[in-house]
Amino acid sequence: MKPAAGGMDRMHPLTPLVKGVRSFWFVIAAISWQGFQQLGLTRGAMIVAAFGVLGLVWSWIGWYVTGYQVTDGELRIADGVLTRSRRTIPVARLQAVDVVRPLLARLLGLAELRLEVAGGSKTEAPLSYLTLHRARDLRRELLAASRPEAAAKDDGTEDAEPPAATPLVSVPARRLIAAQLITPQILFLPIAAAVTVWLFAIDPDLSVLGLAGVITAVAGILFQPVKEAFVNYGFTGSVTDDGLRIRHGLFEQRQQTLPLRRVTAVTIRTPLLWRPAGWVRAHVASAAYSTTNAGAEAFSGRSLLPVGTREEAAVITAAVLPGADIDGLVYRGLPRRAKWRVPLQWRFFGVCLTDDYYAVRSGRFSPSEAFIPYGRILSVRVTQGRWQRLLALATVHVDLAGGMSVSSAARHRPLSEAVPLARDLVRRSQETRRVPG
Amino acid sequence: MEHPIWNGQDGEVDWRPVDPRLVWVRLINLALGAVPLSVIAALLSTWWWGPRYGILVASCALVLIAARIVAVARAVRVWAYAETEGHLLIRHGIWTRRLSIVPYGRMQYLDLTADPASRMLGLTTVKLHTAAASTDATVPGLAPPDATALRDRLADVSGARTEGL
Repeated sequence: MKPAAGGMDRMHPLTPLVKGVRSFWFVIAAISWQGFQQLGLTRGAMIVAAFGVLGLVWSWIGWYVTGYQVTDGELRIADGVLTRSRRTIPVARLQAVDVVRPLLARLLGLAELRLEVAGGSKTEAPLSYLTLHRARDLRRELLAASRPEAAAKDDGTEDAEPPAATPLVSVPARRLIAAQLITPQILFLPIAAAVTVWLFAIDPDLSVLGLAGVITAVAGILFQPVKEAFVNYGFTGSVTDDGLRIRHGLFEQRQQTLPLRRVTAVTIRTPLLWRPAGWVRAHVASAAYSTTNAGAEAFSGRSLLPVGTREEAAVITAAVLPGADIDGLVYRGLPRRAKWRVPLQWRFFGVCLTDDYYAVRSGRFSPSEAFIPYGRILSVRVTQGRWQRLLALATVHVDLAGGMSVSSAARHRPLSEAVPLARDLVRRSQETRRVPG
Repeated sequence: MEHPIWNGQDGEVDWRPVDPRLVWVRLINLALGAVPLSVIAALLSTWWWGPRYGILVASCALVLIAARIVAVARAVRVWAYAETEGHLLIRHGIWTRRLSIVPYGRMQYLDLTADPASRMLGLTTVKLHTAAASTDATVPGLAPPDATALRDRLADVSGARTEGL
């Protein structure tokens, strides 16, 4: 087989099959049940087959013209039929590498390699599909090349796959499911059922359409916890030479690798309903996940621990931010007068400046904590609203690459402390940055 | 900004106000935006509900515009920036007060813009961008020589200490 272009490699030859199969589902969804009833099964099947073959041919053409190559610290990707495009990604800019294996690809032994770069609104360079072996090799190669010291010394340490590190945290399936059962969405379910029954009781002629509406709404509410359980199934987190490595997923397996020097913050939240069980949830933020990524998920970064004990959160946080001790911090609280602004929660706000990290705590009912290495702070803002001004309070925000500013805001600090705190953070940020890393 | 804390330690920070003519830029934009809108609203309500409501709408608009004029004038007076050894400070806002501190090394790029009203009065807006989208560092209302001088100084110091992300 001749190369795609100029000595480039092609994706795996089964790629068109995996991608083309998607078009079957699209066509089936587009025709829908009603369409099949009108067309009859035979004709419907023929239409699906025709579009499916078309999809396969299209995918095959896409595969035929796509090539990739890793040279001189750059990843090059060429694709496009009519509009040829060649993308060059400097490997040094790499933020994270994910190996993603959808169900069908997994059955065929294939994997997709996704590269995250800073500021991109979406995954910049998905390489789909490669054999799992090739994807892992390429990941190791790219991560090794992205290290700052890689440019200087290029010794021949390309030995075999390093032994898989023992996971620092792993989430048992039972706990994952139990945690999803005590989310507001699931607890809402009996209420929704009761309302539906009640609606039927007062109006027995309630149309099927009304019922369908209720069912759709409930399904929409349940989507999030169910998805969470599937996505985080078999979650393990470990720290290897390449950085933080997270694997999870029931149908679509993902293995994410985030170099530790890319971590901009770690947040730990304790949802109110999980407090009796003593469970927390941790996220890790990096510039790869910008705020333009859809939804709150991207905003708080990627999952570091979907559900776990506080001890587990402490272990993984200490591994991701070396030297961070989440329970050994003495937070500086708010002055008494802050109770006029946040009456029930004022005792639960605090900041703590350790040697390496800035820690912010807030919230009484669902406490959240953020840990930020000083070197990741890009700029600092102090804001003072009207009511804060009457009490001489102010909020200190730190700006990080990729967002995350909400949970990292130190709210309602005394004004006499807020501005010096801001300047202190800026000074520490600059001092830390002098050290390469 | 009557509270001394916003000014940092005494004599340490040399705050420079933005050009007072910025008030006129803001007022021209207000005149181009809010005034025609209020006139249209007043005319429409006269047409629909009668002249009494037209006058009511017009006077409400007048009060709002007057309040806005006062706010604009005060906002421009408190807007100031300061260059220190390692970072740029910007303060603004009267209802919500804001102070931004941006280390020079974290600057990714600078924007110089001038809307038509600013161009009429010969003013320029300088906006600093870091890798964080939430960074809020805008200095409006600079005379072009000041703006380019600020830009050149910022480009100089940030080039000397590029730290990127």
